[in-house]
Amino acid sequence: MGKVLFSSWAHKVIDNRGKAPETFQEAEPKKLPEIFAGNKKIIGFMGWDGVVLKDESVNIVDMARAYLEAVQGASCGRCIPCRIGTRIMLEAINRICSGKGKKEDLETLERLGQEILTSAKCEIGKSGPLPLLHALTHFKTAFEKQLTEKEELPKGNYHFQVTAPCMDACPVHLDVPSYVELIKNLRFEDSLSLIRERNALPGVCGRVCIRPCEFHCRRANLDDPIQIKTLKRFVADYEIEHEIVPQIKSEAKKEHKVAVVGAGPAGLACALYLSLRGYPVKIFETLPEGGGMAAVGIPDYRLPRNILQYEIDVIRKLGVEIQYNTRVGKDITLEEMKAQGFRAIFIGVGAHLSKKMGVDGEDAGYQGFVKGVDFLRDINLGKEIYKGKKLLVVGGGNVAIDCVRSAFRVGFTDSNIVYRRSRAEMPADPVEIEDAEIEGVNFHFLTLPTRIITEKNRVKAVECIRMELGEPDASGRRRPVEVKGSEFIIETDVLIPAIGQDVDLSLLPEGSGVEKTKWSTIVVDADSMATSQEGIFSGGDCVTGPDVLVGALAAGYDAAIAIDQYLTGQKMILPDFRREEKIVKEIGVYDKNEKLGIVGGVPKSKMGHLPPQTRIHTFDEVELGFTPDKAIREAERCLRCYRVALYATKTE
Amino acid sequence: MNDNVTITIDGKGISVPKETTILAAARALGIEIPTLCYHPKLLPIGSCRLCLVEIEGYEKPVASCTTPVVDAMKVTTQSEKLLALRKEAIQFMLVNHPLDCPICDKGGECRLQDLAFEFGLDQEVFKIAASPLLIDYLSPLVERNNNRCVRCGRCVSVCNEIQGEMAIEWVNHGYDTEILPRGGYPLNCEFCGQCIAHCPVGALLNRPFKYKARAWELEKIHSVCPYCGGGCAIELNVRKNKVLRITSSYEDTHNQGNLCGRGNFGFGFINNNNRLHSPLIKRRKDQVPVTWEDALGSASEQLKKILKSSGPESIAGLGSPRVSNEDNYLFQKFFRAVIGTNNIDSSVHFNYRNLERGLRATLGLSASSHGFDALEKAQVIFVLGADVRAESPPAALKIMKMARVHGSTLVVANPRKTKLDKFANVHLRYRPGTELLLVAGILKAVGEKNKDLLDNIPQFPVLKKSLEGIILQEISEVTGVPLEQIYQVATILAKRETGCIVFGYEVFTHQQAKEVVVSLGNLAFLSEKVSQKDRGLIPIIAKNNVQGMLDMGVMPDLLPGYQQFEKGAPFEKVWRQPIPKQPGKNAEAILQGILDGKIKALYLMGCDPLMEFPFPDKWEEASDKLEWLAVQDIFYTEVATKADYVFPAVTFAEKEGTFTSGERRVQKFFPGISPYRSALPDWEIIQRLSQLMGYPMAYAHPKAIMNEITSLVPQYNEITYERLGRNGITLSSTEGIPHFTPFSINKVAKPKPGSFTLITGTAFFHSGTLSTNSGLTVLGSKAWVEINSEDAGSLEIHEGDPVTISSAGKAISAAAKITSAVPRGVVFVPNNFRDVQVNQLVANQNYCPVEVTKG
Repeated sequence: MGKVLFSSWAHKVIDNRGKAPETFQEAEPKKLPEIFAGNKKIIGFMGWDGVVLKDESVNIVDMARAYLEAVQGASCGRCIPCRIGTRIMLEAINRICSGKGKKEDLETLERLGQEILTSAKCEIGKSGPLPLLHALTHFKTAFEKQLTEKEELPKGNYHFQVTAPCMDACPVHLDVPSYVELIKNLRFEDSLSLIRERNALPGVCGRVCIRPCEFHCRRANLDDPIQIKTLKRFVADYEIEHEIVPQIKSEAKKEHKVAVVGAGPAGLACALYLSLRGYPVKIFETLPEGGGMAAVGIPDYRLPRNILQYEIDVIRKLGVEIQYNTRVGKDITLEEMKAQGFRAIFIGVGAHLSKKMGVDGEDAGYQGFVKGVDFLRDINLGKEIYKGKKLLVVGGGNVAIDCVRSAFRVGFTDSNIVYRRSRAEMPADPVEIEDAEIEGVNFHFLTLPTRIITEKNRVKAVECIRMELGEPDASGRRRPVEVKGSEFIIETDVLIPAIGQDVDLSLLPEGSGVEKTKWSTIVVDADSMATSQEGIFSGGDCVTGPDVLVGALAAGYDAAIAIDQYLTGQKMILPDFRREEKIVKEIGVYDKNEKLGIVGGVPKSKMGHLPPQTRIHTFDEVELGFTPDKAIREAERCLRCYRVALYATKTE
Repeated sequence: MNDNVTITIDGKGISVPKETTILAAARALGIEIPTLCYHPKLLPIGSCRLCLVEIEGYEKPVASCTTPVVDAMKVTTQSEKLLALRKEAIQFMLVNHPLDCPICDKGGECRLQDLAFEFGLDQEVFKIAASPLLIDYLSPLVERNNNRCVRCGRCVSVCNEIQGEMAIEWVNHGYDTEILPRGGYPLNCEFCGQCIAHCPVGALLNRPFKYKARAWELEKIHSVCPYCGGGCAIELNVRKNKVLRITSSYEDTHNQGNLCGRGNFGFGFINNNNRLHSPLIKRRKDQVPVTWEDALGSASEQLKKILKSSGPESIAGLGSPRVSNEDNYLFQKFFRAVIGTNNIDSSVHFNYRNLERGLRATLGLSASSHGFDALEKAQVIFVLGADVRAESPPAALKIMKMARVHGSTLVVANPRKTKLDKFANVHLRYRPGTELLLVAGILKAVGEKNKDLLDNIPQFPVLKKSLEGIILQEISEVTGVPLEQIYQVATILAKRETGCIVFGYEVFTHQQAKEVVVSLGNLAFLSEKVSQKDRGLIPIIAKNNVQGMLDMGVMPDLLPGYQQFEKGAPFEKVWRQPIPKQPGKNAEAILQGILDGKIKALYLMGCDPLMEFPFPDKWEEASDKLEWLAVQDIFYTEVATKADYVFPAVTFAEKEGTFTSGERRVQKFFPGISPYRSALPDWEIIQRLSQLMGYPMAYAHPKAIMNEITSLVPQYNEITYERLGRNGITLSSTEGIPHFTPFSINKVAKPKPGSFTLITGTAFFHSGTLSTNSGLTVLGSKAWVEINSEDAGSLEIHEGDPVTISSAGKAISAAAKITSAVPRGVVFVPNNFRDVQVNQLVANQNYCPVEVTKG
């Protein structure tokens, strides 16, 4: 972050007080944004890991008071030390701030602070008193001075938020600890309702999310991360399996209609959250069914059709209309939509075009040459099934893995993947790679296709070259370098490139006023998802390029907020809770090197799987989810790592 | 792989199974770690932080109740640091805790009081400025005082995990965190009282018990709940010869200390001032109090006269599923040995009597195939025609737990929505009275889908023949259950997983009740739900001693133990009296016999045909015709007003004896208080009357009666009165070999569109005379009509409007309760209410076609 007056963040005390600014030492955290919002500057920060002061004008005693107030307000109240102890501390510091403090109050703060840190049930209590204890240690004189004051201390300006490493990692910032706790408490329906507040497709995400939360789970510092994804799936499935009617409350109906282009995750999320705000929403979708890339890009054995369609139905039953088989730009234009009275439009089209390999002949229309996304789409839509015994997929991402695994299920017996780097660099989900291995896929690492060999306009084989890993590139991964003269031939019936996708933006003709990038994506304001054309918003793959599903859901959610602001004539600004989520993300909530100081070793619940020998012949779902007792047990492993972040701000 | 891990606690080593918590391991070692929020039957909560322990190598202590053991872990349970933290946690709990122990009902059995005492905390160190919280004086039966609450969360857990009610929840944050009813006061729940029973402090009070006694003054006497067939073990809390409270302990009861609202609050009838206290004799038109000698003397003289003039067949008796095995046994002995007739029956003629008939025919059973513990292993549970929560709450708890926690597949089939529906995977909403068709349809569907499987079952053709005429499409139309659901259930059952078929009141009151039981027996046999351990065909029995009464032979056609009259020699030997070989009259024939003038004397023990039987008006007419009517009961019932002799009996709380629960668990109960004024135990009244009738009977104690029972009733051979310990003994019911049994199906017409069917069943808070006279009436003493919201709409009926339901010239009226719990075309009225006698309409079934009008 650079130069601050004082920091005790991350066990590293940097005290620059009284020093010349140019001699200030660098301090943690690395990134603490300068600005909270507009002309509001962040001048101090207190959190689970310590205290950061940037400006002399922050009164540390008052800030500690504000922090304790936030902790007490955030305490779930379910353990005695945190619920009562932090309140006693708050009263003590309130007395000090009001000029009525006594020396014993300082002792109480110190003693109770230590005790609560040691004995509280979850992280609010286990981290809550920490910044105050840091302040007491490093700013003792400030506290002592305040004890002698008989005047009430003026109150500073603060913003606080409650976060958790998993929440912070999640693009939609799901309140994971709470929904996990509700599972532990057997309140499965309530858990799902909570998830739906931010995640429009729980059953889908519960299956195919890349689960950043689990990679930021503090339990992993002890043993294994909580299987948050599967817990989400559990509550989503519970609703379906028990024929429970979802209880979702919408606001009163509003007048302005909104059109959404694309019934994929971004479009569905935007439609759902607009609909909850009372707006009539109509989605225009090219394909005959909803779900976008989730429907046609993910095979049924990972994401069964009925789950996705069920979740789309939940959204439809709230009043969202979906018009299928309608390609925007061809069957209806954006202008026509406006003319039909849609006051705002959200564009959420996916990346359905396969990237080119840059190999001769890939546009020649050879038989047996199929693009990855087309292969998956055709299987998903039950269209032509590609024939052959041997199949070769080029790529290392999830689409490539989906192709090789699907291949067995449509009759191929020899399924191969060619990837130019090594296994460690594969961007696909490690679990997916492992499943592909179990099912018998052959992996050819450090291999690059260079030429398509055909016979009578049919793919016969692929010439490849061996690669080796050189210096790291911009992505941080080691760059593959060709090994001269190592060319060799792999025979195959079908060749599938799956090295990435592009977005088809033909719906935006010249003069649409919507600015695009040279990579054929749409330019939007990062906060409001607004395009350069008034009333048109966009999010998801068409903005980011091919990205994860939950990212599209997040974009849809944010766009819904902005569209609501736009339609009610407000300024489109990020609400405070979203801004705080963005700021704390910069600071970083999860520390994979943190020592928790408590015992671990609690085994995780194991989900059932279809056995490999039977599953490769069917599109039946491979993963079987949790039974309630397994889900409850898994939920019990959650450490509830809620943390409070508090910003002192100054308006300039 | 060895699934045990070895750990050291306070220097002592122990090897325990992997998922054991540190707390459990410590307790196994006899090491005491203080707890407050922990309860062994609940998921660990971890809120009180008293059970913190230190683990070697780790900086922070952990709660031993929530932390499982890890191999080679070294645990310290006592240290200066831990003591300080525990003391501080208790100090925190004492913050702003009202110092009202002298008037707090919990005083003497309060965990916080004990902890403060144990840790020697004599000062309130901290104080927090906060205003007192609202005390809930609005809710019936339960009083919540959150000022005393330590927020341990046990009440929420028990309400949620055990009861599946989720009626209370955590609200607010920080110090202001409270536990409140969902949606605020007053509480809207099933009032099981479990929250009170599990509150470690005085935050939840048993309102009827409030200010009645100090904990240490109460004597606790072991007994058995007198309500449903679940037979929960209870303790009568007695002070100064009054039962003031009912409790049940987790440690040594088969019901794990769980009780329902009836069990917890429904004991008011014991101390009720309206109890019969003196024998009565009708002199001219008035019934006047007399001594036992006069009452029994006169009654026996008159009865002897009738016996002499009209013979034994002119005398009949009706027994009760509410009284003990010993009482029922003596009652039937009185008729068979003293009078010389088999004219003896009971209210269960109209329902549960068909259970044994059907079970014996198919499965060779005389009772439930398995105990409730089979439910706790079931992967599949199929519930047909039972509102299990109302009919037998302990069974419902087990089913709920399997479905909610263990993920067992639950299929619930009922004409109306019941509590279990919330946890079910498949909901079959069939039309009233179509149970047999539905089961036949499922059997047929299993047959269609599993041809290979069935070909290997030798006797299957026998069953196939019964199913020949069945067309699934028609079944679907008449039952109203979609075809795919019939197939779905067939598929679930055909998997032959461990599981149970559970059935109840709707089945027992079916026009062809025996056939339904037979068809269920076939289904259970086919789906392998009876042949092995951990499976079962389990009837849900709503009255406590139905099974015992039937076992004791209170029926006209069989001797105790369901023995044929020709095998009655052992009875004749012990009774030293020949017994009649002809079956006697059943309840219906008794009524006809009275009306025809053939039966002149009727002895009723705990039975009120005017309330419990179909055709109450005919029974009224009949009771006026009788020359000799004796009513033996605890209350002055409707029929007692017509009696020539009224004999005051005692309740279960004033006598000793045994009950046999629906799962055939024979349990002892003991007297907590002395008999109410002149009232006597039923067996003693019968004994005295027998003596006066000239038959020598001299049992000194119910034990002597049970000794005779065990010698004569084969099913009870394995028990002795002494051997029945705290939880009794569950008797086996297998007497034959299961086999497919043919059954016939009467045609059921599809109801006309727009017509209504009335169904009736048990209301949870109200199951007859006991609940009418107990504290439960605070939850409502009037019957109601449940009607579908769409039907209500088209009839312009609003919530609370009076609704008249009529059939065949008879009508009843009650207030409307608009709901989605009943489907269109169906109205529900609970039975056993005095103000609305639904048995006038439904006769001997539980449903009938009716007309519904507003007003």
